Amino acid sequence: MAEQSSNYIFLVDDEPIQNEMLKDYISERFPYQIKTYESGEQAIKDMDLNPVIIVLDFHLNAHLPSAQNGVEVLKQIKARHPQTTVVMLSGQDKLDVAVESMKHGAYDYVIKGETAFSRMENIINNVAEFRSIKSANNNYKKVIAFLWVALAIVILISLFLAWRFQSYTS
Amino acid sequence: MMMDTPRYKELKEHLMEQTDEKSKIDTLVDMGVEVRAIDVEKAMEMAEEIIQRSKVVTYYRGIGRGLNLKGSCYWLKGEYDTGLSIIKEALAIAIRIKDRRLEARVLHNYGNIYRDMGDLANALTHFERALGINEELGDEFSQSIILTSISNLLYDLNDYDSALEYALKCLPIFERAHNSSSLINIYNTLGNIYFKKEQHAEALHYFTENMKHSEPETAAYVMAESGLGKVYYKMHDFGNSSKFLTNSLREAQLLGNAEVQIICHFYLGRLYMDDNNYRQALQSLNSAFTLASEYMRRHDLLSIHEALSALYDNMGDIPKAFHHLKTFEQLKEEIFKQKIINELRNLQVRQQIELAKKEKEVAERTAHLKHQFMANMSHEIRTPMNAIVGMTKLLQSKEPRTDQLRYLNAIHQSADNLLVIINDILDVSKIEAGKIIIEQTDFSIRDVLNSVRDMLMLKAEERGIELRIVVDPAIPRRLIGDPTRLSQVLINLAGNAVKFTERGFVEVNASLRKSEGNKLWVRYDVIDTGIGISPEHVDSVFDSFTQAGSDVARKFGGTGLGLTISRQLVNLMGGEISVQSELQKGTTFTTVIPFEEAAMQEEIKKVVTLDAAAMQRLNNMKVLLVEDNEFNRMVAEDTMKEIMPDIQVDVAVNGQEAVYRVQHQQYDVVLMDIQMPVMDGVKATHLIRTTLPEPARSTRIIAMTANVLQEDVQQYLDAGMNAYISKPFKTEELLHQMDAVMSNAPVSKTRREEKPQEENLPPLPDKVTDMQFLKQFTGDKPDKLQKYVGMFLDNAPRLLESLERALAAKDYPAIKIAAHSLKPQLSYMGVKEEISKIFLIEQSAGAAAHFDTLPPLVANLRRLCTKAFEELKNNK
Repeated sequence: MAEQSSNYIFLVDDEPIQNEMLKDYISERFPYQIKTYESGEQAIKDMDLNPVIIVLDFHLNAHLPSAQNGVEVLKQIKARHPQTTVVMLSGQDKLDVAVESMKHGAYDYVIKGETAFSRMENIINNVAEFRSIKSANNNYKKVIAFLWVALAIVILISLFLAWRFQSYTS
Repeated sequence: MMMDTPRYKELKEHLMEQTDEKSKIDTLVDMGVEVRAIDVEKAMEMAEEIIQRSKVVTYYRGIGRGLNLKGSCYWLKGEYDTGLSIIKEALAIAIRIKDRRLEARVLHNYGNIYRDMGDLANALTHFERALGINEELGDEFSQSIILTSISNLLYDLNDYDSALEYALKCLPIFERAHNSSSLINIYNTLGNIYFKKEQHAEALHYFTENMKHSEPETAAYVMAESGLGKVYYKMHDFGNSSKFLTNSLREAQLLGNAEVQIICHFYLGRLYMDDNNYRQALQSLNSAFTLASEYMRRHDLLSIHEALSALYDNMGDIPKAFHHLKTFEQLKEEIFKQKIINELRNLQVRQQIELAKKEKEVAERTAHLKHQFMANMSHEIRTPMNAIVGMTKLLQSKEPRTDQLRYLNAIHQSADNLLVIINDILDVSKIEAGKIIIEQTDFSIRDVLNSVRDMLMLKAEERGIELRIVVDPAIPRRLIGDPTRLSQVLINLAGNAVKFTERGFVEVNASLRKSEGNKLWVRYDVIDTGIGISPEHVDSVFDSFTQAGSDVARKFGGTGLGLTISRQLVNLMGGEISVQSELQKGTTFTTVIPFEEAAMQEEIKKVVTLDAAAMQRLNNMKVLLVEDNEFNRMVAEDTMKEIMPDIQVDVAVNGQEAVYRVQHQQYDVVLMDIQMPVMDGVKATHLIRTTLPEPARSTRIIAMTANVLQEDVQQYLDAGMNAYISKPFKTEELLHQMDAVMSNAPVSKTRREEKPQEENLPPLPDKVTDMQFLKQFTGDKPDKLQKYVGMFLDNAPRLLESLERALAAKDYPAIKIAAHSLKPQLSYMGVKEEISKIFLIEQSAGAAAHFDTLPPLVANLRRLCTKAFEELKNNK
């Protein structure tokens, strides 16, 4: 499967302090490797590392007015790597920000501030759980497919035997 | 076969009496239609005769009707292609001779044929067109016939509820018309629908009814018999079922009616199948299958394939069962194309959508017109009011005689009243347009109540009533909320109370209802001992334009809008308003509004009055007054000269002249009217700001306008005006604005708001930062904590600078972004939102109406951050 892969989490925020705090917070709690980026463009360049989760700031142009904003980056990531989980970070609790994020395939949306860190922890836990369930599900699917094939073979053999038996008796 | 239906006899007698060949032909057609249901071959012969006789007398309508009859006979015989090609000719004739009725009939036959061929989409299109024509003609009966067909079509699509709805609509019309063939048709349809809906009693009723109405050994009769057979089958009454089906089959074979034969074979087949008699079942189903294939009846084929699949499954022949199942699925796909279903849905909702669309258009246009009308009204009324108020004031200051002064006071008072009404109307339209924004600023509730007292004291004294203002000492001195709107509400309520009270007192009582954290709810009771409101009016006092009975308006005056506005404003502020009243005893209005307690409770005095130096500076100014209205010009000029005798005032009567004058002379201030002939004020300002050389380019311009709607004001500021005053202006406001623009450097560099006075800002608490969160976050590790603080100290000053730069450049989106980025960082450093107001900055930068509030907010932020940076550095 294409999605089983690296152990990376990308943090994309143009505020270094935000990146740094989140990085410390996550690395103390999870065994992921964490990379931080100041712009979406840089993060996209590293997409071949196949990160499990990308945490993306909604406003990425406070310092560089020319930088792409978070939704643009989200769209690009989702277009090329639809399996990557992207969590949007925003400074404000606004419905349109949330809607915009979700519309373009974000997994969740977190408001910056003191509670953001514990929320992010929950999300990472959920993502991990979701992925393990998904892979278990895939395994089950395979097993079921195998059982079908086996069943078909059994039926064919029994039909064949029945035919043989008939031709013997008649 | 004998033709003896009553209708046929009647027609035959009618035919005898007629002499005109064309009328005879028409009667023959009607007879043919009657015969068609009983003997198709005979009807066919009649059609042929009709066509021939019509050709002899070149009666095109006759030819068309004959062809249509002939085509329909082929339809009944199941020869669909031949039928189609014949009615095609009929349609051509109908169109050529513009006979709409015939056209509708032909289209209806098209629909019938397509339906039996299983091409439901095409069938529907033709039925719809036929229906449209009959609607135009207003022919209820023909409409019903087509609705019956559509009902049948819906039945084919398994939408039984809609089918039933259509069929039941037609039933009473046919019953009234006593038209037996239509009745037979509709009974059959209803029987089938109830059969599918498994309402067997109803189904039996309609099929039995049909047998009563139709002659034995006719298509309708055998159809009814087969119907009864299938209902009994479903009811598990196999004896009856078998009896009716066998009977019906035999008669249908004699009549050559394929449809009924197929039904009978099919259900007999299923009967046999249930009886485990597979051989017989297969035989029956195969007969049904052969007939259905021959007559291309796709719907029947569909059911037959399904039954065959089940039969072969029971017989253990899996490959054949599979084959039929697959064919069944394919056929189903073809027939139930999503397209058809969608088209049917459209038929039902199309009208509703169109109606809604039209309504929406009208509403939008009305709203737009209303807005425009309000803006115009506001201008048209305010301009003359400006002249009246201004000149009255001037006259009052010219030492008039006592009696003259009395008249002048009366004029003044009336003009003020009129202004209140205009403002009321404007407020209502602004609230309705969602243009009123509730501010969140620091204010004193006691100041608001004092101003209410000042406003109403005089009126109360005049009327000889007592005015009491009571404030609960528990209410904090400084609150955060919207003082303007609060005082508007209270003045409205208390003003009403004074107006409707003839003796006794009016009391405004403010009390603290409850408080949670820094949020608190203040309750205001406005109590009077006036005329009261009768119980039947109490509920409607807050509705627009109602007062306590219409005679009240005559006696006491007013627009009746005050309470509506008050309620809407209270709602906007997140509060509630209610009323209790007893006639002749008095009324109590109670409103509860939430506020926040301000962080700083010290009193802040706003510097409003101008000092002598400022007055001196204004006195020496040279002003250009741009105003097209002669009276307004006089008022403005004289008002200024009254206070500043040495001021030099030049006059321009339109924008073009203003631009010319500014280009050739240096003015300190231009007072610019907006709506003027030749060139308006906005255009003139734009030209001055963009085409003239310095220093003329930077001349300070103040808009004088009656258009004070927010979006208009924004347009003036965008054009490059420095400030605005609303007409009719108050002298103090004019002086204040002139002083404000004068005490600033020229506009190209800064604006007046950008130099907020330090002393206007509230003092900061002793300590603005708080390391509690970071300590907890880092698990009390000083090195990590220092790392974050270091990053903040590195980054925040840059953000603050870009925020200030953006403010200087009036780049509001950039302010928003910078504030947005700074906000979480400040919260990590423990800087409270109520001190930093960073969220308010972010919000204000997104709303044009609040741009003015930004400069002091940013100045406050700068001061706060400087302190925060120091604290953090010292912590290191």
